[in-house]
Amino acid sequence: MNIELAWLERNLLLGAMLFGIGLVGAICRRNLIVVFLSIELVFQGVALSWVGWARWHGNVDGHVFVVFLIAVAACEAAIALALFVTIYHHWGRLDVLLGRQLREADLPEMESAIADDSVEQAPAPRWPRLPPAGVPPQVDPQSLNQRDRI
Amino acid sequence: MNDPHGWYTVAAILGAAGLWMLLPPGHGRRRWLGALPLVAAGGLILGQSPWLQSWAAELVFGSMALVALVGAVGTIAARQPVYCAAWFALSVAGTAGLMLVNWAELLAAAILIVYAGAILVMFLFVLMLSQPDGRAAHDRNGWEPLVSAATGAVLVGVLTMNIAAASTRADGQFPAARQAIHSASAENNGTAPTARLDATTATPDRSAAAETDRPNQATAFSVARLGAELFSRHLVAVEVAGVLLLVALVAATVIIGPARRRDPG
Repeated sequence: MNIELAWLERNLLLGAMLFGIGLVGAICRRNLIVVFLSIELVFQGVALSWVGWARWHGNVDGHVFVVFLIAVAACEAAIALALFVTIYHHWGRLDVLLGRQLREADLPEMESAIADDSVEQAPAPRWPRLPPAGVPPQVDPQSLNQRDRI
Repeated sequence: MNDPHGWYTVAAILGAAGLWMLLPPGHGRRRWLGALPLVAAGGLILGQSPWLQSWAAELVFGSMALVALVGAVGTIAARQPVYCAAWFALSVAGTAGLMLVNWAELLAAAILIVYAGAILVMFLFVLMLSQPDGRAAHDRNGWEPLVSAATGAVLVGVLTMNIAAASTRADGQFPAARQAIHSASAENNGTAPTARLDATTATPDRSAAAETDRPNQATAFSVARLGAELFSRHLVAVEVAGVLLLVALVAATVIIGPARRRDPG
């Protein structure tokens, strides 16, 4: 088999595998940031395929496509980050399942096998317990909004 | 089983099983055993593909592909989002290496700078705002891991079978197909507006680039040539992409901006 054809097939196969892995992550993961990273993996698979085709055709059109892909990915990252920060301020976590709240008030909640969050929980870190002594400190109301209180 | 389609089916099933074991919620520490069927699947798919005719090329491609694939699997399998970001950076490094091997030097640098440098660091900032330790329920639970792994397996199985079959078909009629492509691109080269620029950017003609000798091929994909294409044939698209970036910047500022005061007094 000709070597350039071999390179094209290799690049396309690897691009397909990266695309598939990214797709699985985008479907399965529930952290919004990880979903976004999975979509970037899909982009990388596509970019690799384009570079492979550019090599096969002997021109740089595929490279031009990848340049625009990078530009679009940068725009997407900016918008996504702004949305993530807004969502985190609003709901306190970055969970895809929060999207279930986007429904009419009289409709039932979507059914899912894992929606109850009871499958596996990480053990909480063990903090040392000290005996109470002295005057109880005043709680700063501002600190109640911090991350580990939410 | 001499039929390559059978091997691709086996590889897809193995890959689905491995991903299902690795994806959250998984099975505790034993979930890392899922790496074994995944390695077997990747080896089957890449092992079926044609030989690159030199051990050096095989070694470089294989190591870069391994880095890219291991990073990709780690990205979707790690519990802590910070680790996901680190695995993703590894995958980007592997992809950049593959682009370098494929004569796309500028893209290799750009993908490293933009993805691993800019986007990933921004994500780490956001991760520091949210729960970075991976103890949240939505980090430790997945959304239908079996169904999603099966979906990915079907997609990858169909794609790999089609790619392999098309490659085998093209191999039979290779000289004619290749000749047609390059005579067509040589014609385009004569009429395209880049022809004027090509004369000043030390770009060889396409027929020389069509041969497989490396120095000519490297210069056919030079950064100068990419710049000439970008700023001649694709000039409008470049400008539109610039406007798109500006619009995204403004939109992000508006989305995240402070709440507007409704009453002026």
